[in-house]
Amino acid sequence: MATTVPLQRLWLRFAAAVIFVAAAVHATLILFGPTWHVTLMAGVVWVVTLLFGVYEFRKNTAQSARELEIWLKIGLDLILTASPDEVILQASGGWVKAAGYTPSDLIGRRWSEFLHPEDALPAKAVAEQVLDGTHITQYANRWRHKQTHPDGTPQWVWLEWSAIEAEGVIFATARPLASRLEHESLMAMWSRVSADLMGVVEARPTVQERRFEWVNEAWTRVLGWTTAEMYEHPTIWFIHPDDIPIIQSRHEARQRGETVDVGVSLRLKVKTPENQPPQYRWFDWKSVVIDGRLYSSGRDITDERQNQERMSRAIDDLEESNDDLERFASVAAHQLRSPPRTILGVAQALEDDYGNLLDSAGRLFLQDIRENAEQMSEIVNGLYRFSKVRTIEEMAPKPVDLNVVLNTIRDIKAKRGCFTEGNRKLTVDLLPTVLGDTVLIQEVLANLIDNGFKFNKSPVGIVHVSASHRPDGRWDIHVADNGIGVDAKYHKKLFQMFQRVHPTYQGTGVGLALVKSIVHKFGGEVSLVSEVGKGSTFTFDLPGLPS
Amino acid sequence: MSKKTVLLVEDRPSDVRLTNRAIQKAGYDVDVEVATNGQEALERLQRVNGHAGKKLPDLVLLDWMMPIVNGEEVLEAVRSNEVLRSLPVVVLTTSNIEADVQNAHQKGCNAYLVKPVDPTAFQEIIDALGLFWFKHAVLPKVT
Repeated sequence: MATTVPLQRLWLRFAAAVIFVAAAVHATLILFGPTWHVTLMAGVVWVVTLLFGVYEFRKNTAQSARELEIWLKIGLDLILTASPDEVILQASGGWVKAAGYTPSDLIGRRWSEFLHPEDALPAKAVAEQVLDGTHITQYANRWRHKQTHPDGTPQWVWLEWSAIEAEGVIFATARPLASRLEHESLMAMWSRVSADLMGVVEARPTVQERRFEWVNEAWTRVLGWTTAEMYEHPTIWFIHPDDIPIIQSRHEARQRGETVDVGVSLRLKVKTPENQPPQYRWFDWKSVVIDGRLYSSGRDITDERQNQERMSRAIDDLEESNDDLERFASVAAHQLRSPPRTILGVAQALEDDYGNLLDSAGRLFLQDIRENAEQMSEIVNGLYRFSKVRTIEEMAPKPVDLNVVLNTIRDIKAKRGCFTEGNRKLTVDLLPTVLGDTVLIQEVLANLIDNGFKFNKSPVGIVHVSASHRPDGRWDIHVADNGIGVDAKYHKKLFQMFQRVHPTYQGTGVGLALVKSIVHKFGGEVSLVSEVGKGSTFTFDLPGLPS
Repeated sequence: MSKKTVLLVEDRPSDVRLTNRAIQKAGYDVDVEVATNGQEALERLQRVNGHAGKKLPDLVLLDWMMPIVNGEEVLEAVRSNEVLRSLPVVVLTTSNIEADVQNAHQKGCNAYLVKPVDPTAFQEIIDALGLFWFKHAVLPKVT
């Protein structure tokens, strides 16, 4: 076993010097000695000195070798010597900590066995350079750690090397690249826990040739394929046939030097029992090419897509039912509006033309007919307007001065004798100008004001309209009355079609549904604060003018 | 001046009676002929040709929603007929749908009136209708 011998020790230099001087003196004496015994004596001394020197040299050589062995054993450094045919001759104890190997694990085996497959060929080239006399530094490769990951996949340790050749032996020392190690293990950890599929392929000239060089565990979790199966098939084997042209065109674009950095949606094959038709899941893919490798990451969007499909189906259904509603509106407008109108007309004609033939009881029946026909006409009208609001196309909101709207409502009510018949008062604060539609907002306010008077037993029925500005720029409009109030348990029901919560009061059950529908149209909500016996305040909100 | 004639095209008998009554109440001296659907109306109008005794009405009061042949089709037929083209046609219907109003005018009605629910308001409309068409309006000469 060849080792380096430390020749620096002073006493050895001294011994060498003495031997050299003695040899010179004795050589002189041997050659030019006065007598043969002098020559003989000098020769003997020369030989003895030489033998002593050789003895000392050998003794110290053995000691140096032992010391070196100790250093090798306890040192934290990674040290190797290897023969030109890659066999490891010596190894330091530092390997245990860095890669799990004791020196005896390493000695006698080829270093190339321990390298990452990707690093083996470059390492052989570097070894050639070292044997040619180059001192190699700043070269790094990956060693297989003795311990594997729990799933059996190898762990790799990045090592940075310094190596030279001496006497036909490669002397090499290494240290772990801690930052790289940390980075790699962090990456490995993330890729293990990642819910997204991750994969690396070589960006080869054709899509058909590509195989995975690396995939993360998400493939197994999401699609069911084992890592081995992922490496076994070409990548396109996993892709839905209809999606291969997309891959192809992206690949061609890359070949032309174009940047393809936008994502793409692809279907990937799910592992199913062999006799079953293939199943696929949708993924959003992002890919990037770095140093001839295509790094891709895919997110499972199957559920999202299904939800979208369900949603668009629901929207279709909704549109269909809206169409039904529109047809209903047309039926309500034409067919249902005529009969109550005719009944009213006939009742009026009967009263006008034959009223004198009826007694008071007969006239009361006539009155019943008219009242019921009027109510029916109101219901149909409300229903018609409700369905019309529902089916109205999106309208651009226009400025509406609520003061003007209130004046119109007041005028209509006054004309109908609303304020003269009963004891009623409509009070209004100064109101803002909002965004909406005059006719529809009038409908809302008229309905709420009507309700305030209709469901009211106070000696003086009062409805008060006010407004407050909200921080978000919208206006809350309040319509408060001193009426009979509504129990909180009916509040929700109140806004539903044909839900009448006051059976003793006349109502169509359409008004508040219409109100809600209109307010929704302008992005608002209707709410109610009410106390039974005290009164109710309806509040709805409308967009304000842009400041 | 001879007595005016109105052709009332209306499928509901009770409505026919009510409209008829309102016209009589309005006090205008007119004959009211009735067609209970669009087909009957067109037959009545086309029968004029070749029947010396018959003449075209001075005004047609046309319901819009009717079975068999509806108001729209009647209006189209009238406006595309050489002889009938100049006939005044007033649509009298319960529909206040914007699309119907638009459509009726595009097809060439002379006026579009919505029958109100309130009987008094309806009488007012018929009064105004008579005042305008039978007193003030100058109608084309009919043969």
